[in-house]
Amino acid sequence: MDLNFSLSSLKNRPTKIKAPRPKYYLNLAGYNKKQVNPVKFGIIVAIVAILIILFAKFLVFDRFAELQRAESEAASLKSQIDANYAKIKELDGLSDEYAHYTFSGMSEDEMALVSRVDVMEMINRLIVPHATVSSWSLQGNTLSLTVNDTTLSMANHMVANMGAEPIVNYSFVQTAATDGSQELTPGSVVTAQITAYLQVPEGTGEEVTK
Amino acid sequence: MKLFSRQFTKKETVMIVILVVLLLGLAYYYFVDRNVRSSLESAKTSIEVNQSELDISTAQLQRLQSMDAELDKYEAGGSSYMASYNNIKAELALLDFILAGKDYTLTLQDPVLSGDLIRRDMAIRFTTNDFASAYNVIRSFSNSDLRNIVQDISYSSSTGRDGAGTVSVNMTVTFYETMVGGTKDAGLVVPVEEVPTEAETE
Repeated sequence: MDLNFSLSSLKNRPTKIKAPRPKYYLNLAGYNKKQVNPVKFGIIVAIVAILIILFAKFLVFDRFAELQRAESEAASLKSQIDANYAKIKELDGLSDEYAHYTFSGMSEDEMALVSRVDVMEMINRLIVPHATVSSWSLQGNTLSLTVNDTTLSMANHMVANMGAEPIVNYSFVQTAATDGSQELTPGSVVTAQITAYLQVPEGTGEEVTK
Repeated sequence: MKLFSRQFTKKETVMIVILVVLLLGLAYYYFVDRNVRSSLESAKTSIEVNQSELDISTAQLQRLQSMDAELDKYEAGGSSYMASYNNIKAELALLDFILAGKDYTLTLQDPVLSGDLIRRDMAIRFTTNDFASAYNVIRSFSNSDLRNIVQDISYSSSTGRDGAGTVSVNMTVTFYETMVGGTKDAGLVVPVEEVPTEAETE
């Protein structure tokens, strides 16, 4: 074994390059600090945000909106009421005036009476030219006529003409009698009683009361 | 969870979260829910009250509008008029005018109240020369501005075909008046069913 070496050879030997030793630090502020998973954190934040939005939407905004709708509906009704009362005020006094013209208090019988003027016009037009009207009476809507100086066929003709009138519902010769003072032949002069049931023509309702 | 340099346990954290939620709930109840609920109830009550008042006022307005339309119709048709009670003076003046120059007998009944309507029946008997003259009398009643109805008529004639003679007419005429604008007096007959009960007068 060669033990021959010198100190100078030791000096000249190549120096070893040491790798730097890692440095360790102790950060007490971060002691026990847990690492937060950013995905998990994001999901939690999103859920909380959604909950806040839903809460605000359904329990705050919607309720205020419902309140506003109700209040505006109440205000709208109030304005319609005010408009109605304004129009009612414009028509003030109308009820009193109406009371002087209305037919509402009159009975059905009164309203159903046929115009007496129309009845007399009919008698004048259809009966008077063909016979002497000795008497007639009008009770409600029933007309009874007694005519002289006519014949039975003429009485029948008058009844037929009356039946065609819009104010007559039904008419007929109730009695007919000769006076016995003349020769009895066809066309003898008779005294006849004619009855007619009258009616208010359709489409009118206030014949008598105009 | 760490707050104010103190680390909270999981249990404490849960408790804090529950507390926060409760506080938020209470704040919501006191500052939002209670006020909104009370305002909403008040608004809904207003809607009900207003709706009912609107219905009433609309019905009243429609009634008036229909009266207005009816009045226009009456005016256009020259409808007769019911004067306020007591209108006997005007009615007698009318009779005097219509029956002028004729023999007549008048029998007046007491006026009778029915609702606001007053009926005054008159039995009239008159004699005149012919059918045309009797017709004119009845037409005058019909054309009068004072509302009346000629009820029953009984006509008899002694006139022959030559036109000589007289005709006699018995008839009943009802004149109508209204209590609107009128004043009751002792002459007005008020049927028992028309007398208001004590409860109605109160």
